[in-house]
Amino acid sequence: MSELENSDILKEILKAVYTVAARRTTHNFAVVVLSTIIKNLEQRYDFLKKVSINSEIDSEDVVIISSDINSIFPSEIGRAIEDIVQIASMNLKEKAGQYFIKEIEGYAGDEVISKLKDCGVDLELFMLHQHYLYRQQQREEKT
Amino acid sequence: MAKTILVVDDDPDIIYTIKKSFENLDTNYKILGVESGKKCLKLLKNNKIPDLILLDIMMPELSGWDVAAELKKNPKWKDIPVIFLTAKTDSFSKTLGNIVVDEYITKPFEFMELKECIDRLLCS
Repeated sequence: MSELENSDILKEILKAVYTVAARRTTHNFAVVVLSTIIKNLEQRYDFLKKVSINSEIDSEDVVIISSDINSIFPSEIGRAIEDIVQIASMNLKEKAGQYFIKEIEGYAGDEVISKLKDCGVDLELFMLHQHYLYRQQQREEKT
Repeated sequence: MAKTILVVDDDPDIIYTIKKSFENLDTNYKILGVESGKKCLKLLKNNKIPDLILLDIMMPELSGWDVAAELKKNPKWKDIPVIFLTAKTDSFSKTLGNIVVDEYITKPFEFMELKECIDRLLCS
C-alpha cells in the first residue's frame, strides 16, 4: 500500500468526525459541523482553505482536499488535527469523551492513527489531557 | 421597535408558555410560533425573518438539526441567532449543537434563564 500523505490523514480524520457527528445528528447537520470547524480554524491554518466539504448526500466523498496540502509540514497538519478534534469533543464529559476518541480511531483506522503519531498527535494522550482539564474544571466549580 | 422571536416546537404548550411568559413581563419581544421545521423554513422563504429563533430538535418530518443546517447554509439566514431548546440532554448533542448554533438550553428550562440568554444574544 502506498504511503499515506497529509491529505489522506486529514481527510480520514475529518471523515471520522463527520461520521461520528452524523450518527448522532443528521447528514446535513454533520456537514455544517465540519464546515464550521474548518471555517473557524482557517485563520490559524491557512492550508485548511484547500479543504472543501461536499454536502451532496449521495456523494462518496464528504471531504475533498487538494493535494497542495501535501507540501505542508506534517507537524502543522498534526496541530490542525488536534484543534479539529478538540473543537469536536469540547465539553464532552469523561466517558463520552473517551468514547468519542475511540470512535474517531475506529473510523479512521490503525494506519491513519499510527501515521498521526508521526505528525505529533497521540489521540489517547490527547484524551487523557482533555480528561484532566475536565476534572480540573469540575474541581474549580466545586470550590 | 419590537424584536421578533420565532419559536419552532411541535409541542404547542411550549409555544404558548413562552408567549405568555414574555407577555406577562411586558418585554419588547414579539413571539411567533410554528409547530414544525417545514413551517419555519416556509416563513423564512416568504421573507418573514425573525430576530432570533428558538428551535426544538426532536420534531417529526424535519428535525431541528436539519432546520439549523438549512439556516446556516443560506447566506440570508445564517446570521440569525439560534437557540436549541430541547429535551436532548446528552453531552454529544450539546457539544455538536454548540459548534453550530449560539446556545443550547435543555428542557425543562427556567424561563428567566432563557430570557437572559435571548437578551444577551439580541444585545450583542
